[in-house]
Amino acid sequence: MGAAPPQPVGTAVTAAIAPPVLCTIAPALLDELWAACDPAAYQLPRAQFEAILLRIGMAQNFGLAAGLAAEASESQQRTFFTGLRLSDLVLARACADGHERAWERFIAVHREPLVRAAIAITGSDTLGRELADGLYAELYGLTLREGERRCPLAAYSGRGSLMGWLRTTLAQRHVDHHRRTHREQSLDASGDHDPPAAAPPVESASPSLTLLAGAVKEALMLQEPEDRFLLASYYLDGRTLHQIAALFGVHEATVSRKLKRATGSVRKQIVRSLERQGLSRRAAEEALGADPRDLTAICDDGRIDRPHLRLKELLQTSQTETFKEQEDR
Amino acid sequence: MNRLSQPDLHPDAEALSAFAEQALPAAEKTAVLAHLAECPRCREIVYLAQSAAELEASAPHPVPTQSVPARLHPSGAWLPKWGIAWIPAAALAGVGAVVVWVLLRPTPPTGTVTFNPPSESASLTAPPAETGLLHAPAAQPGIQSASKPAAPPTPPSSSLAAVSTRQKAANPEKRSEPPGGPTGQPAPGDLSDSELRALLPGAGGEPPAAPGATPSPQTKVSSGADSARLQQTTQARYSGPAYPQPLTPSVIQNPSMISADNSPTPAVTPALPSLAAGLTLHGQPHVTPLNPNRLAMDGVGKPVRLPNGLKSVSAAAVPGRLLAIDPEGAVFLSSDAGKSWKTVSPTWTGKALQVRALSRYGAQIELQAATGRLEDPTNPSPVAAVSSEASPASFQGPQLATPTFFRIVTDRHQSWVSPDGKLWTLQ
Repeated sequence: MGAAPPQPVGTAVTAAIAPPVLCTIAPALLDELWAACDPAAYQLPRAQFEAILLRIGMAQNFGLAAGLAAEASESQQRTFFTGLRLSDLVLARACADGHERAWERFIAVHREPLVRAAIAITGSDTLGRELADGLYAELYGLTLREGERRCPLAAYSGRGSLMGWLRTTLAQRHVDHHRRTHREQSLDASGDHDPPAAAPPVESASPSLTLLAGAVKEALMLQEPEDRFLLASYYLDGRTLHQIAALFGVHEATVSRKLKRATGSVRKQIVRSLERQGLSRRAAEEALGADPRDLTAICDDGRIDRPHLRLKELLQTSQTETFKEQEDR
Repeated sequence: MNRLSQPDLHPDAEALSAFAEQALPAAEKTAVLAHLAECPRCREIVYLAQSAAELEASAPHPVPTQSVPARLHPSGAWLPKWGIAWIPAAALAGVGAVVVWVLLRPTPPTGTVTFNPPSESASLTAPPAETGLLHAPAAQPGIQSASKPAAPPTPPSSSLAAVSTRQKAANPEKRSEPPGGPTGQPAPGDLSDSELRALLPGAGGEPPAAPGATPSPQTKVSSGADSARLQQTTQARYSGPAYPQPLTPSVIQNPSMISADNSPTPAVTPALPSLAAGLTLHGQPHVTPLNPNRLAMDGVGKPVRLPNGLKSVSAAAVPGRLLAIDPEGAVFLSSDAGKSWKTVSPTWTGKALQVRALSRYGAQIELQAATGRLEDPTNPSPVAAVSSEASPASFQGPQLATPTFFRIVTDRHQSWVSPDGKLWTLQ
């Protein structure tokens, strides 16, 4: 490969940019990718197309280990680029670079689906259009950060489809907005507020519930991530088998089978854990009949802290901190 | 700092969307799953995005044009191209309809001569004393037998046509008669009348055929009305898949053929082999998928006890051999009328569902061509019979109708034939 001057980076929002490395893309591969992506449809110059490809490749080291980007062969580069949604990626990067024709192309292809997705996510035409317009404005770079035009499209790396990324971004914004605002209450109705309920008396947790809570936590932690995700989706979120199956690209029967297996495994683990802690098998199985609402937060000293459903937290307490714990920090 | 914007706590939208589209490598997918198992926020994002994608995929929307619209507002920017999306679907539906019609419609081979038992349908009967045909009108009611103008005689395109011509010349006064009425008592095969009766499930089976119903192509001469009804009923009751079966021949009235006196002959479509088209006794085309439960009632009516202790779901007999299928699809062969059985090694894949005993098509035609006449119905062969109401002209010789080979239908919709129940050939 020949030497080439380092390529300038168009935006500052891009994830960690690799230091300038002397690298080019093989002309034959470039022709191949040019034909596949059809950037001529929105009049993207070939030089800019090559620059975008280089930036993408260098940012991800052409799929190789760090530091080996400059040594990527043509076949390795081809393998890397064919694993991406290259046409979507080039369009996104061209838009992020401010290419007007690319924006026109983006509007023609993605604007309406974006609005429909936002309406589907919010469940409201008004809210959906507002959400879509807000994202669109942000994508178009109307947001300035530190004096620079920022475009979220630069964060798209082409592993999934561009439209999928847009939907997920919409959903992300909607969920975050909802979580921030759903507890807000209008001050107009302040006169109708009921006084807050008195704190319930602190009481000690029964030993069996303490054991059960610990056994449930332990049993869940022993499950595979996929099984825990299935259990959480089905039992906590109330997702249907169809929804879960669509996410994995499998049949509903497969999901049902896995859920049944995971549930059986959790139950077995709970019983074993309770037996290890001194309960008889019969007592352990009876404990499984406890009301989940009774599995309150068990403090270290055995007292019940907040008597409400905390089973969710048993699934959430893992390597990643929850929002609650982050707030407490 | 807003914790929600901290990128290291939650996967970014790009990772979540790639996860939803199954585009993540295995290691990263596991990491994302581990996070999703504990993070309701990210789960909600993923499911919301995924449901929006499903809605978009399921709802028909106009395809965006390649050209760039001048304005941002999409209204009127491009024409809705609803028709484009439906054109391939309509074309596919049309092709599917054509395929189904081709499979279901009768396909008379031109120039062939087949023999049909007489039909009750007056509209389908040939002009009396003019055609000399030995057969009844077309088996299916409603099939119009349009009179054709006199046409110059054309040489038969096959020996079968020649047979028909000779038959017409030899028997100018024969006419079609209403068919006998099958009574719904099944019994195919080559068992004697007494054996057949012994295997009958009892009276009160299928209702009698409606006028114009399609009798069995294997209509035979017999003095026993029961045997005739058994034979006809069995063949007519089958409602298997609509694939063509080389069953007993049926005489058709080839429009290109004319009677001895050049009188116009009605063009009568040939009777479909009832097994092939799944014609019921009422002559209505009826195609049903293979149903092992229903197949149990065909063939030999009474279940046969097999050496493995199971009762047969289907059985049939040719001279000297009895073949039966158990509920598991295993096939058994007996050479002594069921006293001892041997297991037949299956050469087919899948499970055998039904066995029938059939006569050879070619053997019948050749024999008919050789003899040039039919057997007296008052002195029928003990092998099979037709209804006593059948026309003397509407029967086959016993040789033509004698089942001489087995045919097995499997759950893969394959047909395998064998003359002896041991060596099987895919049909």
